[in-house]
This record gives sequence, C-alpha cells and structure tokens, in this order.
Amino acid sequence: MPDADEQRLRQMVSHRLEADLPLPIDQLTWECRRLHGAPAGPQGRWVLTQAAPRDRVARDMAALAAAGLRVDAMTTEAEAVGALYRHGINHSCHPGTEGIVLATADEWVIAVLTGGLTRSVRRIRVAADDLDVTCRECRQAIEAEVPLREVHRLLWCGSSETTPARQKAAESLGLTVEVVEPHRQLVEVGGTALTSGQLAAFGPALGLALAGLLEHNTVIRLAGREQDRIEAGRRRVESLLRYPWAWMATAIGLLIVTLIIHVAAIKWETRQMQTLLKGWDKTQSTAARIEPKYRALLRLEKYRIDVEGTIADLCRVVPDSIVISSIQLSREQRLVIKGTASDPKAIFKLADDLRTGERFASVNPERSEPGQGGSFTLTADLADVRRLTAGLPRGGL
Amino acid sequence: MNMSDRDRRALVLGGVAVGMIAVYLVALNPLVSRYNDMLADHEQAAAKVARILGEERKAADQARQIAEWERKAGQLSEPKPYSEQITSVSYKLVAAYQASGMQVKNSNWTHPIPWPDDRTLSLATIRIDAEADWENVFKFVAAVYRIEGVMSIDRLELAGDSKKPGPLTVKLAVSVLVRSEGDNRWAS
Repeated sequence: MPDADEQRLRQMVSHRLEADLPLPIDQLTWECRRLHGAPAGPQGRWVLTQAAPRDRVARDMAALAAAGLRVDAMTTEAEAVGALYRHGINHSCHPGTEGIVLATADEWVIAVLTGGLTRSVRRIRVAADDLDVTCRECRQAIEAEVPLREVHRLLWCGSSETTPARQKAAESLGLTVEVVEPHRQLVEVGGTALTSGQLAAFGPALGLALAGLLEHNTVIRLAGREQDRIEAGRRRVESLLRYPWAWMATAIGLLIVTLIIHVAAIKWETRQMQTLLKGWDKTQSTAARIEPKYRALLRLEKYRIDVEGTIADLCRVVPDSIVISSIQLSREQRLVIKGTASDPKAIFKLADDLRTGERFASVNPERSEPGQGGSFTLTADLADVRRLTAGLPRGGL
Repeated sequence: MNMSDRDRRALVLGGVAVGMIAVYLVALNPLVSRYNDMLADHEQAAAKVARILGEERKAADQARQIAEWERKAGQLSEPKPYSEQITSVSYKLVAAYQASGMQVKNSNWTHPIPWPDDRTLSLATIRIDAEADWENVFKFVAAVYRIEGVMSIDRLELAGDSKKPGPLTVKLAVSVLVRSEGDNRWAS
C-alpha cells in the first residue's frame, strides 16, 4: 500500500477488500496494521489485513460473554502463530519463507510465514497408519500458499513420538527440517521448562497469550474491548505510579489530617459532654421528680393486700352446700372462714379447691360440733401477703 | 585528635540514639501522655453521660408504671405529716362511707408504729366497726383503695347470721403511712 495516514489507509484497504473478497464488506469484520519490520517496497509499505465474517465474530463474542468472559481482544490464529514464531521458540530468524509444523499424534498445525509474517495456518488430521497421506496433505497445505521450492526450511515442533513423522516429512517434502525447542522463558507454574510436546499441543494458545502480552499494541483486533479504554486505564495506573514520593507525602498528610480531626473530635465531644454534665441538675431530673411516687408505688405493690381479689377467689370455689357465717382476713392472722356445711365432704372439697390456686397456702379445714349441723373452721395462709416485721398493733378489733 | 571511621560511626550512631531518646522524652512521651489523658477524660465523661441517659430511660419506664397505677388505683404521693394525713384520710373515708352506704358504728385511730422499711415513716391504723350489705362492703373497699395515703386494708372481718337476714357486721383496719417528723408528736 502507498504511504498514507491512518484514515486514508483504511479507506484504501476497504476498497481492496471489497474488490478481492467474495463477501460484501459490510458482512465482514476486518482490521489492518502496517508491517513496520517488513521492508518498504517500491510502491509503499506492507500492510497486513485480516477479516472474518461479521456474524461469526458476533456469535463467538456472544458465546464468550455468556460464559462470563470479558474479551479484551479477539484476533486470528495467524497472529497467534506469528507471536509464537517470534517469541515462543528458539530459532534463528530468516527473511525468506519458512514453514512451521506443530505436530501432535493426532493433528498437525502447519503455518507458512514470510519474513515472520504468517501467510496461512492450516490443520490436518494425522493418518496414523499411513504417514504418506499426511505428508501429502502437508505438501498441499504449503503449496496452496507458496511453491514448495520457495520454502527455505521447515521448523518442526513435536514430542519425540513424532520423530518418525518428522523424518518422513523431510523425506517426502524434500525440505530441511529443523527441530525447534520452546523458548527458555516459557515455563510452567512450578518453573519447569515447557517440553516440545507441550508446545506442539498448546502452541496456538501460547502464541495468543504471547501476542496479548508482548504485541498488544499491534495485534489485529477483530473485536473486544476498546483499545483506547484499556490503554486509558493502563495510562492512569502508570501515571499514578509515576510519583511514589508524592503519593507517600499525600498519604502522610492525610494521616496527619486524620489524626488532627480525631483529636479535635474527641476534644469537642468531651467538652460537649462536660458542658452537659455541668448543667445537669440531678434534683430537677425526671428520676428525682418521680422518685417519691415510685417509692410509694413499690410500697403499695409490696404491702397492699388484695382484699377484693382474695374474697373473689374464695367465693368462686365455695359450694352451695356451705353457709359461711364469718370471714376474717388479716395480714398476721391469715384467713379464717367459719360456717356450716350440710355435706361434710364439701368442707374438704373447698379446702382442696383453695389449695389448687396460688393465693392460698397451708389450708387447714377443721370440723367441729358434728352433732349440731356440721360446723367448720377453715384456716389458710395468704401467699401474696407480706407481713410487717415490726407488726401491727395486737388485739381484737 | 584523629578519629577513625569506626569512632566516627560510633559517634554518629550514639548521637542519633541520644537524639531519639531526647525526642521521645521531650516531644513524644508528653504528647502520648496528653493523648491518654484526653482519652481518659472523654471516657469518664462518656460513662457519666451514659449513666444519666440510663437513669432517664429507667425513669421514663417508672413514670409509665406510675401513670398506669394512678389510672387504676388513684393518686400516689409521699406520706404527709401525721395530723395532715389523718385529717385528709378521715375526710375521704367519711365520703367513702357515704358513697358505699356503710353504717359506721365506731371508728378510731390507733397509735402509730414505726414503719419497718423506713424509720422516717410510721403506720397509723384506723379501726372501723360498721354494718353493711355484702355489695356495699366491696364498694367501700374499692373506694378506700383509691384514697391517697392509704396503705392497705390490714384486717377485714365479715360476720353474719344465716338464720337472721340483715346487714353483715364489718370490722376493718385500714393502715395509713405518715411521716414521723416535724409536729407529729404521736409518732414514736
């Protein structure tokens, strides 16, 4: 593409895509970037453009969102393999065309790169019993992009189990096959270096991670969070971390202000409370005002005899066969009931009934003069009556 | 005098240590003491205020109990001096006799005795002999318990004859609390 500003470059790319691709451009999601590492051609600069059907991108983003993932950047497998080539494997860079094979027992990922730029990525199933077929498919995959004679070498990444396949590929394709190892910085959580087998199995995923970490400014982004927003957040954090001493001074200042506020608040509160206490007149308080009445209430609750209640409880249980001639109720001489009963059993029933309540205790019926109509005397203690220790005046009424 | 590096270092360290001790004694320690005093004052004042607030809450509850009692059983008051209390209660008892229809035959006040819970108070008792119907007796009892100053009916005796219909013979002892001070020459 000729050199142009960003907006004009995008216009030119969109026209080119419209012309070259079988889908209308409004059905595509696409992105482009200048290839700064690639040499400038006679007509301008190299520009890498990648596109995918818009509905597929939307579908994949929706699926990721449904799984609770917030996607920073959705890019292509080509970008992942390119990042893996540049940062994930030990090899000497070559300006010409190369192939990479990430070989596992089931599948080969075959990428063709020119000057580090990924031109194609294809996957082929491995026919375990017929490596010739697999090698033929591999040849077709490479030749679909470039003639085989232009391929300088084939970088092979796979476990030792794939050695026969590697030898077969070298023989079948007639290319120099170089075995590559994972970069020494690629380690597991425990610090163990990755093996070639692990790199072959997880190569595209590792490449994607490397692209996100090391090439996040240039990687092709088909969808995801706005780069500006991510960058703005990053810039904010960086700007905050740029002045540690200023922040420390601010923190110390805030601490001092907090201490001053704390001390001032305590002093103010203490002064308020002391003012309140000085103005507090105990004799004018509610407690002091109602104290005489409350004392009187306590005395009455403690010593007043519930005459009405006692007589009512008594009358409730007196049977019809009993005629009461006198009732004496006193704080000291308890309850004394005298009367006559036509039915001798009624006296004891009355006594039992009085015992069942909570008001009377030590109920004691006595019959007298059984030959003269069944007179009786019933005495009982009043359970809720408190005696005076000094005693009331003795003597009859 | 020439000083070695080691001596100089020791001198600097010693100076710093002495400086730190001086800062602690002159500035830090008094500051911490003043802060602790301030906290102690605050705590003391807060405890007093909390106690007052607690008393006020308790008083509010007591006031509610008093109001409830007065609604049911008449006014509550502190005992008055003997003469004043006896006069007041006697007047109200007469009103209660009349209201309840009791036929009073005899009533007399007894010598006051000391109140066991409070030596500044005495208990005077009025003994009443009367005749009344069953219903009137309890009208009278209810009226007596609404008289301000009445402590309790300490004795009640009801007697009647089933063979001879007529009013019941009623004997009552009504106790009244009085203040045993001032001009109360009867109080012991």
